[in-house]
Order: sequence, then structure tokens, then C-alpha cells
Amino acid sequence: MKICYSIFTTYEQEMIKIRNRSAFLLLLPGVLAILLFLFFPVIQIALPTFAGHFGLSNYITFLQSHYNQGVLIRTLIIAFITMIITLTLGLPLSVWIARQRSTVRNLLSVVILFPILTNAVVRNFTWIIILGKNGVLNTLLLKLNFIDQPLTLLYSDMAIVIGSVYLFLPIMVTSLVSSVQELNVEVEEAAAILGSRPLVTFFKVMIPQLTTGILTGCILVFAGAMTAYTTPQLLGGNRHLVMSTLIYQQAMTLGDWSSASVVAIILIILTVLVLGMMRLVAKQLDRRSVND
Amino acid sequence: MAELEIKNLNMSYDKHLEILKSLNLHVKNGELISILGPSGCGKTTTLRIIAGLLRQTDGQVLIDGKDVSKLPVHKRNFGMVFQSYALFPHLNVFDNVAFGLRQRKEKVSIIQKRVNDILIATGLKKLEKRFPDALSGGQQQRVSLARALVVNPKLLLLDEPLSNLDAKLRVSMREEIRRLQQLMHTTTVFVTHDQEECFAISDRVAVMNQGVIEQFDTPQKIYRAPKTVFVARFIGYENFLSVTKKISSTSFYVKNVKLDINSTVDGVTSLSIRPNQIVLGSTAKTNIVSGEIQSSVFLGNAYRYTVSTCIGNLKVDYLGSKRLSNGQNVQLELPAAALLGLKK
Amino acid sequence: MIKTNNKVLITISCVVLFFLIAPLFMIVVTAFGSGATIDFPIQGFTFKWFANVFAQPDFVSGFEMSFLVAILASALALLVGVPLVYALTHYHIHHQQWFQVLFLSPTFIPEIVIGFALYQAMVILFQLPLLVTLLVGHFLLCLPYVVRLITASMTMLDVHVEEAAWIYGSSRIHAFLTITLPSIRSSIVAAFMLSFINSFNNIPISLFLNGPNLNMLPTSILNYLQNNYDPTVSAVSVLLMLFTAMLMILVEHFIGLNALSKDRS
Repeated sequence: MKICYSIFTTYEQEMIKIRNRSAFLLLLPGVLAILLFLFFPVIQIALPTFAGHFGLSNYITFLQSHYNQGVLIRTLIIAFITMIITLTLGLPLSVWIARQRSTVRNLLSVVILFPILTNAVVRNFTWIIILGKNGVLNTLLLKLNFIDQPLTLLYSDMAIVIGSVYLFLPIMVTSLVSSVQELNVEVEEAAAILGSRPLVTFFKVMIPQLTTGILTGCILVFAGAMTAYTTPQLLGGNRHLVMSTLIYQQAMTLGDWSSASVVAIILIILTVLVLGMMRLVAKQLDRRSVND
Repeated sequence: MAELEIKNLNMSYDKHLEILKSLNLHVKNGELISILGPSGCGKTTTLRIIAGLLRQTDGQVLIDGKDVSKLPVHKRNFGMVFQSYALFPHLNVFDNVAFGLRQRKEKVSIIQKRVNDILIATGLKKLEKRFPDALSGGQQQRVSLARALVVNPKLLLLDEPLSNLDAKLRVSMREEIRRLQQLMHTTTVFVTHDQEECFAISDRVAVMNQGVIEQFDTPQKIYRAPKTVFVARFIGYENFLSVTKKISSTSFYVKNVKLDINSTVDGVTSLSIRPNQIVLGSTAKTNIVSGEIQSSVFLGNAYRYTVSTCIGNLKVDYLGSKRLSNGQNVQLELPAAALLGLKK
Repeated sequence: MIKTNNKVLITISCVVLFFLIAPLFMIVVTAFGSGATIDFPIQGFTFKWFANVFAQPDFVSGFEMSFLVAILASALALLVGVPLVYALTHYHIHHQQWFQVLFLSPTFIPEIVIGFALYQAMVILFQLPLLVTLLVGHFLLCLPYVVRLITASMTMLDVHVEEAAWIYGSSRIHAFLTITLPSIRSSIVAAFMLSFINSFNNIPISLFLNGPNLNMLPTSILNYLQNNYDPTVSAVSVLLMLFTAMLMILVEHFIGLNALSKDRS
């Protein structure tokens, strides 16, 4: 018995070795590519930024500037407002789409998917046409005599928010639609039979069940809006910089590559924080439902 | 606690697809009735219309004589237990049960007391802090039942509530449902496709087929005296003989065999008998037919023979210690007391 | 219970859908305006802006370059991504979750930072050609799409099917090529399409990585837009939308559009 057993284990060990070797070979190109093309370049720009006091003096200098503070806060506020608006607009639309008959639902999914796959320049350009000084909106308002001279709509924080909402709404909707589709309609029917009005059912029964989908959508939108370049570049102009346009300006316009690196590292840290927070909260939510 | 009356209920999704055909049903105060039928017969549709989850094409649903057809679901004050239990996954057992009372804006102390009482009555007190996905199927169904009953509904609607449970649990749950229903004296409509289940707990049973209630009677009457071919077939009658000629209301020809029956209904088109009620090797003079054994199957409590006769193949259950061989000729008696006359 | 015939819900949904669709329609209309700048509603009708699109060398070469880079980057991402997903889903690997995070890590780094960092490391430090660096950047963009989509379909595969192939004498590689790969065909196509379109549309990564002879279409449009405000941009936008629509029709025809929305992080 003992001999048999040992033969068996050597065979097993041999198999494990073979499997390990092939797994190693299959993973190698991917791991190397990530380390070499992503981690190395990021570390390479990160290292020189750490100098002086605890290595943080560059960051302290950056954050002491009121101008930079403004950019950082603008970035966060725009991302936050975009997230709130996409959620508010996206929730009802998602419920509506998710509950349609499958033919209608598929058609609407195409309508939602099309903007996602369309170039961001195109989708921002349309808002230049609408919000510009001689744009559609101003022309309309002038004709209706609501205003006597064109409003400055373009090149403002508001324009960036509108553009970002337009850009990220479809992403929020796709994330929510799949969550709504997973809901058991009978749960809402049960609520209705127990005396709950549709609006109460929406807030007290549906939304609590959608937390994971809502969270996923919110984080995707927040992280996306926070790091987007095209929208603030086209709709914000030179005076309404956010972190990503600041990187480009520092590096390409001012030639200050080390400042650009500092901004880049801060943006990475913010993104990792936001995405990490999502995983944490999602895990927390998963745990809550299985406790006893 | 209320009386339910359904008058001329019609439901069709489009002109060609009629789900319900002028349905009538009257349920007395405190009664538990079942709607029994195969899937697709319209029983769940009926229940959903009563609940207000579906709007009927035509007809009325009356509660204590008042038409509630226009009343939205959340104002009807019913209780419902779903096949999928439909518990609120984000609320624990206590909050699930308390949901209906909170919608009614009851005082916190009253909610506390009534939820407590029902949790004790259903044996859920120890689980009150648990969330639904940490409960077994039986426990979830109990919560669902408690949640429906705690609001003192005018009407309790049960939509195949036991079909997701295993056999043993099903028996104890149905007794639980009956006990609570009797305790609270709640008028109840129970939808199921399982005859044993509904016979066990119902005061009356409505057997439904293709949007029509074929028979509405006590379980005993349905079982012993089905009136239509469909009902008889659904509750386990096997041998169906088409009437060739009617002699009197209790006497018929099937092919050239004369068969008498004891009790009858209007417009008999078929006769039927259970396999275990046919007497094999009888010496009686009437209601007799002879035949040849084709095949046999051992059922445990008896052998089931397929006997070919001049009026068609008959299934006969016969408990003899020895198995009769195929090809043997036998005399079969279809006793008048056991033979049923059925409408189409 | 919320029904789709709820009036409030219909109203909100229609307004939001209008907000999503109307702006794109407006671009289409402005592309045919004959005025020298963009008007809405348009004054006259002309096709000249479409002709002008093809008269812009940056647009034409940009399209070629974007197309080429998108195809190569997507192919590269599949070539690297499919084997690693196979390893992650079919072998017992220690710290498998960490590998998963590692391969999705490009999504944790803002795209503009990827471009910025690659420019400094690859172009300035290692003196690599711009085109290679650009390809690397777009490869990093595509890899997470491949990893997510292929993982989703590989985990749903019945491992026994492949084992059955081994038992009937098929070698591992042969079994992978003839059994496993064909059964995840639709998600491979979906991953390729999603990678392709995202690479094709991407701006932030290419931003630092363009040079005198290296123009990507979106960045060319961006540059054009900063100096001009005429319907040429509308026209090129219409062409891009047609391009997107064509891709969607292709995807719908071969694997169904639903395959694209299976991409969940």
C-alpha cells in the first residue's frame, strides 16, 4: 500500500509540475507586458516626483497652490455631479427599458449602445454646436425673446458637466438595466399587495435591491468623468482645467514634465482609491445579506 | 375576512387568445377554496386578476358585494403568497413581516406586537434577525405566509405556494396553512396543480380547464363523482368509454354492450371507471364484458392488467397472489355503483 | 410594482432618450449645411463638406493609422489575453485573484497617464519608435476587455468536454484549438470588436504619442476643431457614426449585439 501510495504521489507531483510549467508559459507574456509596459513606465514617472520632506515636497508644493487646488476640486466636483445626474436620469430609464418586451428592449439597447461606441469627439462636438455663442440653444432663446444677448454657455464648468453626463449616461444605463433585469418582479407585486404605492415600491423595494448595480454604475461614471480628457478639453476651454487637461498643459504647453508627473500620480491615486472603494463597499453589501 | 364573488370574468390578451371565458365563482366568508388545473388553464391568471395585478378584459370581482375591479392593487388590502416566496431580499425576517403594517402607518408598538405574535405563531421568532437568503425554502415560505397574514387581509391568495418545497415539507406546510387559515378565519383562494394538496386542505375545489371552471364542489364530491371527462381524467380515472346509444338516463350502450349506472348527470357522453373498481372474474349477470389479457405490470399493491375487450382496452387493477398470464380470457364486471356518467 | 405603462416613467424615459439621440441627429443635419460655419437649422443643402473631409490629408492618413493600430492592438491583446485567461480558468493557480487584478490593472490607470508614462519611458528613455509605443498603449487599452469577456465565457465552459477530447486521443493543443476555441468563438469576436472600437475611438492614449507622420483620426479631428468651426467636422462625424453603425450591424449579424454588453467589471 505504501509503495503504491508513493508511486501515486510522484505521478501526481509530476503532473502538477507539468501543469505548473504550462500555466507559467501561458501567463508569462501577459505578466511581462503589464510589468514592462505599464508598471515600469508608471514607476519611472513616479520615482523622480518623490523628493524632499518624506519624499512629498513636490506634492506639498503642488497642493499649496490655490490654482491647483481649484483644478483638483473642480475635477472631483464635476465627476460627482455627473455621477448624481446620470444616476437620477438613468434609473427611471433603465427600469423602463429593462421591463419592456424583449423586441422593444433590444431596440432600445441599440439606442443606448450606439453612443457608447461612437467617438467621444463626435459626442462632445454636438454640444459645441448646441451650447456655442451662436449655437442652437442661444439662437432658440433669442428667437423666443427669453434673452436679448447670447449666454456664455460653452467653455464653462456647466458645459463640462453636460458633456460628461451625455458621455457617461449610456454606461450608467447599461450597468443598471442588467441589474433591473435580475430583479424578481413578484417581490414588487408582493409589496403592492401589502399596500405599497408605486413610488414607495420604487424607493423602498427596488432601489435597495439595486445597490450593487447602482454602485457599479456610479463608480464607473465617477472614475470615467474624473479622468476624461476629451470633454473638458473641448467644452471647458483653457480656463476650466481639470486634472487630465492639466497634465497635458503642464507637459506639452509649459514643458514642465515633472509637474505633469505629479498630477499624473495624484490622478492614479485618486482612481485607485475610487475603484478600491467600490470593491470594498460591494463586498460589504454582499456580506450584509448573508449574515445571521 | 370577506366574501369573494367573481362575475362573468373574461380575459384575453388578444382577440384570438382567450385565457378566461366568462368565469363565475363564489367564495363564502372564511372559506378556503382551491383552483385546481393543469398549467396554462388560467388559474394563475384568475388569481392575479383577483389580486389586481392584472386587469380583466371584462367582468367583475366583488368583495363583500362591492366591485373592486377599478381599485389599484395596493388599496385592496389582500395578502398573497407567491411560488417564488418573493421576500424582500434587503430586509430581515422581522422587517419583511412588518412591511405591510408600516405601509398602513400603524403605531410602532402595534407593529411590534402583531409581528411578534405572528412570528411566534409561525415558529419564526428565533429567526427574526435573519435575511431571506440565510433561510431554507420552508422557512422562507413561512415568512411569506406570516407577512401576508399579519395585515389581517380581507382575502389570502396562495399561488402554488408549495411547489418549490420537497415532498415532506409540503405536507407539513399545507397543514400549517390550513391551521393558520382556520385560526384567523381568513377567506382564502389557493391555486395548485396538485390534487392531493388541494383535497387535503380545501373546503371546496374548483377544477379549471382552458379558462372554464368545469366543476366546483367539495373534495369528496370531486373525487367520487366527477361530472366531466376532464375532471375525471385529472383526478385519476383511467377507463373512458364513449356512449354509442342512450337508452335511459341511467342506461347506455357502449358499442353493443349495455351498461347501467346508478347516478347520472345531464348530457352523458362518456362512462368511466377506476381500474381498481373493475371486478375481474365476476359472475354477475349485468354490466359484464369479456376480454383477453394483453399485458400486466406489477404496481406493488396490485397487478395492473391491460384487457382488450369489444369496447376497447380496459385497465384493471387486481390483487391476486398469482400473476395471470397474457392471452388468458377473463370476465370483467363494471359495477353500476362505480361506473360514472360524464359530460364532455 | 412598477409597470412600463406608468405615465411618470414614460415621460422621464422619453425625455432622457431624446437627450441621448437628438444631439446626434443634429450633427447629421448640420453636415449638409451650405453656410461657411455651422448653422442649425441649415440654410442650404450641400455635400461639399464630405468632399472636404477627404481633402484633409490628416483625416485620411489618420483613418488609415487608427484602423491599422486598432486591428493590430486588438489582435495582440487576443494573442496574449486568450492564453492567460485559459491558464487562469483551467489551472489551479496560487493567488489567482491577484493575477486577475494584474491583468485588469490598465483600467486603474487613467488613459492619459498611460500615454504620458509610455511616452517618457518608451520614447524618451528607450528611444523606441512612436508607432511601437502607440501600439503598446492601445494594447494595454484592449487587454482588459479581452480578459473580462473571455473569462466570462471560459468559466461557463464545461471542462469535461475538453477532457473528453483528451481521452479520445486529442493532444492538449489540438483539443484547445478544435474544441475550446470554437466554443468561445462569439466572445472572441465580441472581445475583438470591443477592443477594436475602443482603440479606434481612443484619444487620451494617443495624445502624447503622435508625431509628424503619425496622426490618429480622433486626435486629427480634435486638432482641426481647435482651429476651425465649419461643417467638415459634422461631416466626418457622420462618417464615423456610419462606421459605428456598420460595425454594430456586423456584430449583430455574426454574434448578436448582446455579446457586447456582457462586459461587466
